[in-house]
Amino acid sequence: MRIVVCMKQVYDPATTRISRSREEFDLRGAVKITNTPDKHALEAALRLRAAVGGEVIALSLGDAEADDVCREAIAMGADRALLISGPEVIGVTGRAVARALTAGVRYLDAVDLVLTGQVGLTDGTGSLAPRLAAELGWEVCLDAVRLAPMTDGQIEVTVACSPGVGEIVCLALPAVISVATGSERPRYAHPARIANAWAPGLVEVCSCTRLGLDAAALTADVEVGGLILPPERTRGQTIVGPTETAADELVGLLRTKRIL
Amino acid sequence: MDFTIPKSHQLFRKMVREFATQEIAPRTRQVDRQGWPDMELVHKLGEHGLLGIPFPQEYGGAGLGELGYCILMEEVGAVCTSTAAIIGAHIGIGVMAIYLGGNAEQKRRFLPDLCAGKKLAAFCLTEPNAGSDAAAIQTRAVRDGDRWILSGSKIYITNGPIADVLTVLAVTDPALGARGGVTAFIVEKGMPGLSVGTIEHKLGIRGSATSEIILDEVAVPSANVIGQVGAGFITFMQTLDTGRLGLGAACLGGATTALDMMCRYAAGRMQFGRPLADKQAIQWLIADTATEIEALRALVYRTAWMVDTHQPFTREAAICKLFGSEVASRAINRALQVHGALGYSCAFPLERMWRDARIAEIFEGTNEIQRIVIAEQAMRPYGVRVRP
Ligand SMILES: Cc1cc2nc3c(=O)[nH]c(=O)nc-3n(C[C@H](O)[C@H](O)[C@H](O)COP(=O)(O)OP(=O)(O)OC[C@H]3O[C@@H](n4cnc5c(N)ncnc54)[C@H](O)[C@@H]3O)c2cc1C
Repeated sequence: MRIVVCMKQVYDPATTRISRSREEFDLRGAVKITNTPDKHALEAALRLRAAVGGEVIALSLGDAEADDVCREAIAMGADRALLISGPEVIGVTGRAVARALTAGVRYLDAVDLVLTGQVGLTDGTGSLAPRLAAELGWEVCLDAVRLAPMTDGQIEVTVACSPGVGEIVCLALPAVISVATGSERPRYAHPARIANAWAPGLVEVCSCTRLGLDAAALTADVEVGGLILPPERTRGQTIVGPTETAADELVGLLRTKRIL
Repeated sequence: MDFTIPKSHQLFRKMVREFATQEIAPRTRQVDRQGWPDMELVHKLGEHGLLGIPFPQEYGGAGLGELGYCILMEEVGAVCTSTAAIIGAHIGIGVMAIYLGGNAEQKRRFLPDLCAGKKLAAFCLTEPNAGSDAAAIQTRAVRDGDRWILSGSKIYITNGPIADVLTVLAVTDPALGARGGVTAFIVEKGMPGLSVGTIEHKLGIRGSATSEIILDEVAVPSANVIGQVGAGFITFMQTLDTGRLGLGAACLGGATTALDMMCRYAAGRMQFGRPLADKQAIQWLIADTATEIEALRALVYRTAWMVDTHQPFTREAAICKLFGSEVASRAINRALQVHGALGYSCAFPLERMWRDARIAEIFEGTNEIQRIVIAEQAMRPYGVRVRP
């Protein structure tokens, strides 16, 4: 089975701030990481490969730094990676991302399954998988927690509905599936694979033109109208007094605020 | 001059940090309490390739060199000194003695299982009458055809009770002493006559196992002689050089954690209506610690680079160990002071860190011995031989 896993580089939410004055993300000091939900997708792909054999290819889109994402995917177990790069793809969103990745999937040829993470950290919308399916004209299933191969060109997907309740659906391949973060925890990359991940020939870098994609196809279909900021943090409340009465007061407050 | 750490090693640091946070940190308190290693954790270290980090891939290692080993020790040392000691005794000295002194056949025979954690190593030098004076060892090895018969006892051996492969230094020619009369052997668990003696109860690193190792006429095949007969002392001293660097890296991790705790607590703890961090007395503790850590970091990683680029590093490794252990002890002592009673309480990790830090000033050559090594290197150009 040839499995493509879409993986992107995001700013680590723990290192991004929101600037209230400029009403935008403040990215000074922000650190780029591999979108963790995408690692869940990769984990699912690696498990599938272990069960049925085949090849796992990481597919990323971004600037030269996104090479790090490809290397990390290889260190975790992906066989190779394709990075779609070049000035036309910098800052693209929504449909344009799906179109570029679709071109990548077609270029990789004979792909049976495309996996994505559930959502992009920082500013994701979780719309990649359905958009990809629309572009590719394939079956789609969202938020899978488990994938099991079937013999007849289908795949069995377990989808978590609510805690403890799952639904099993069978999907005809080729298909696009987004993998839920509630799925198996991504494995640690093996140190020896980490040491080898920067070897030449593992990451292929392609421009959109190479993939036969017209820059006109990459126009935005959504525009960010504005940013809704979380409410300003209010000063905390200090409870004073002897421990016993203070504890009662604290519990009372937590109850009225429905935290307890 | 370029101080950039290669991308692969940056990713490795991320991996170890994640592993240390998720797998080691939750067990740190427990291993200290029970006074014994968590063997499940030791197996996990092996399973995830962490017990062969510096060694070449052809022998089952990760091929990440001394730089990788220092990153590993720093990150593990930041969360659990006991686990760092287990790894240090295994990679830093136990396996390292075979890697540095052994022939290709021995490396092929022993390293893959040791790197994969299927077997654990220990390094057996210290004896009741030979501590700092390592050349005074009395364990004897007598040739008997194509094997050697080892008799004697080793003490304070880290991983002693849990090791499968023990690198042992013994006297093969008493007349020659350390200069050609001492040989290193690979002794394997299960060899008749090999046994674990008294198990130590310790002040700190209680989550590592330390014991006496008894050799009662253990027959060791000649194929298990590390390098040449008579070359053991040199092999063991070279091994300790690399071990000391890793120990310095572990101290760097411990000191960094202490600084982090100190800053966090000083920022939040209110006394006299203001956070502690407002007081210059506290700020200076923080500033001094940050300064020492920065110096130690530069020292450790530069020395790792020297090892990986095959330059002599005996002096630098001794400096890393000496300075690192003192920086860590000071940093943790200061952090404990900043936390007041909370620092002294067993409810909080600082008291354990404080107990754990002390060992680094003692093992792998006491800090007095490091000063002798450094003075010897400093005085040599002036024609002065520094003797212990
Ligand atoms: C927890 C733990 C784990 C250990 N693990 C191992 C291990 O895995 N393998 C192993 O072989 N050993 C191990 N050791 C032993 C350790 O390396 C020795 O304890 C150390 O080298 C010092 O030897 P000693 O304890 O006999 O002290 P001594 O040599 O008796 O020294 C006592 C004191 O005198 C000082 N001193 C000695 N000589 C001089 C001098 N010439 N000038 C100035 N001061 C001097 C020392 O610095 C020290 O302060 C371990 C020890 C401990 C506590």
